[in-house]
Amino acid sequence: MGPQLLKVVFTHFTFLIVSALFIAGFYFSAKDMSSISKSYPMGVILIVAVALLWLGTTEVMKLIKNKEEFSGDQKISEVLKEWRKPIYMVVILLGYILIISYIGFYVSTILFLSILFFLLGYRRPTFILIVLAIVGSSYLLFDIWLRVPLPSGILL
Amino acid sequence: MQPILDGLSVALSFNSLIFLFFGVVLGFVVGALPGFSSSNAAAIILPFTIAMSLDTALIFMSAIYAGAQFAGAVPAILINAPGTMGAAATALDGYPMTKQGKAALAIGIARMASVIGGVIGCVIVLLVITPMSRIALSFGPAEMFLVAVFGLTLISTVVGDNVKKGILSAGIGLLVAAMSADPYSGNARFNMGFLELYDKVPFVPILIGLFAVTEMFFLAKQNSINVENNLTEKRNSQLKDVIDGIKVTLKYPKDIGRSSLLGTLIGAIPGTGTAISNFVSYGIAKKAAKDNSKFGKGDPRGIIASESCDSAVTSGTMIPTLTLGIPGSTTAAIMLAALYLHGVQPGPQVMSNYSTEAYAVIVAIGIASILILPLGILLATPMIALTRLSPKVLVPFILFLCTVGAFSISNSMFDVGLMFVFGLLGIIMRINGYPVVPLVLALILGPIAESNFIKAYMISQGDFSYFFSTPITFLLWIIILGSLFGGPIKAFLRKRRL
Repeated sequence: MGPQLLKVVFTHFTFLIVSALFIAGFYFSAKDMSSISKSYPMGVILIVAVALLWLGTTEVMKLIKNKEEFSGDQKISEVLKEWRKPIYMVVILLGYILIISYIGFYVSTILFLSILFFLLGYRRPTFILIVLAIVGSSYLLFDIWLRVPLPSGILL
Repeated sequence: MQPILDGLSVALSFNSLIFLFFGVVLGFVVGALPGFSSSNAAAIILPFTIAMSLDTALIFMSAIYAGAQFAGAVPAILINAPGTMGAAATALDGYPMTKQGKAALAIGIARMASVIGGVIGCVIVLLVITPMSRIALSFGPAEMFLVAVFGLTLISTVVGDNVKKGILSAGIGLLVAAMSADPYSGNARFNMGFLELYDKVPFVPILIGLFAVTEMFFLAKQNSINVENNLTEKRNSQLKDVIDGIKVTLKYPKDIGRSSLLGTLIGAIPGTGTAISNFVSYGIAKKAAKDNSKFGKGDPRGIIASESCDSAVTSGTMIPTLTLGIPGSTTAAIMLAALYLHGVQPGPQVMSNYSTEAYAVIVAIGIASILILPLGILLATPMIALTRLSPKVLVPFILFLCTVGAFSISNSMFDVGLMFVFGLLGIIMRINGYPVVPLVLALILGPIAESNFIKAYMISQGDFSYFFSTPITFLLWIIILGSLFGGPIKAFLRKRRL
């Protein structure tokens, strides 16, 4: 798949593909239920399927008419460079969510904030103070005042 | 009258006033940040309101809402970048005034117009909400199902630029809401093996993901929040500017009255919100003016029309939210989520079973509007500084708050994962040009629609003519079909005439 086609598919069809997979899964899950139980979800699935087909066809027709979308010489590496900060954000957030339960809330938060500040371009030494202030105030707020148990792991 | 007085006493209690104060201040912060709205803030705050009583939670959220509605005007006037959609028309005359060196006066006018608009809106809503709730109470399951469908179709058609995309977004939201156990048989439906989904789909982490995480993704790409960061002079708000702002605003009572009434009316129509109302109000003010040559060049009437309407919308949105359980705006949708969190099912029963809380919210919006005047003067300079805050600092901090907020609802990392997944979905939806608001609304209205559908289905023993059996159902069908096909039919007829 060429980079332009990949871009077109990503910017026009990702949500349609995700929606199609979702309603297909829902359909197979609900199809054997009693008529009263499945009447509501099946009705919604029907409406969503019609909207999906309609939108998919419209998008394809629009792209056939408007072929310039496939032209252009922007490379994938350039697009990734342009979007690198948001992509870092998503990856670091995912990593944070995955490690919280293993190493504990406080240590993982210090790591998460420090890495994200650094990657987003905030590299003044004051970031250490900001991180410590956030973690310290969340300890006071959640552990001491509200007594909300935050996830703990092998560290803190 | 008694419920109104009870609501007033709740809203004026010391505890409520403290939360009103902090809510307005927080509203100022989020409103002053272009691109960050009251709905984002309300979504992040939502999990923390579980520790509050229902009235305090609703008062806090309504104060954030009212504060943000005004604060959006500050960046609109100073840097031509509206902090909220409702302040877009304010920039049309506010920014030219800044260029003429009258920034402080423009903010003063916006502040006073917001105060009066908010108070007028609050009074109108207090007068009409009781009769409206009595009508809503006569609705049976078929009517309630159709009201939920009406809310969804209306919002799907007015949000975004493509009706089909709105309908798809709403449909996906309805199915996500239906991932819990079937209310009739108790069987699991497409819960992918997650027991956490069996009882009820936790919508708070979904809201945080769709609003806040998505917003942070796009904010992370920017080096600065400002579109145009060319402020060279220091702009402090002084008492003289406040008095001048009041004097100028009070010169135009007709404009204030008309715009406030219009804002309340438009706010009462679900989904229309401030984005539409302030431009409608601006357009009408321009048409009504004898000399409209100065509009767009720094005319105070332009700011008054936009800001008084914008503030009145906040109160107006409470009419469908509290009487029918259909949110008048995105922030109102999150307020409905707060009702759920406190074990209250949104719908016509809210005005009868929780009338004190409902009236307290409306009165709180009025008080929050009045608080705008002193707090706006006090916080004008920090609000200007906020417009220069860097995303490098904001993004990590907000993401941290989102994670803690999503976790603290039920102390579950599953909810944090859900927030992440729906954050990704929100990003994909925005890149592909799909509105998220219909999905959010469907999450809230989905369970109401389904439970009423099943009730109606069982009463009628599967006879669908039950959904057409009363004059109200007929009227609702006409409105639903009108909202779905009115636009395309109008466009078709216009094309044929040309």
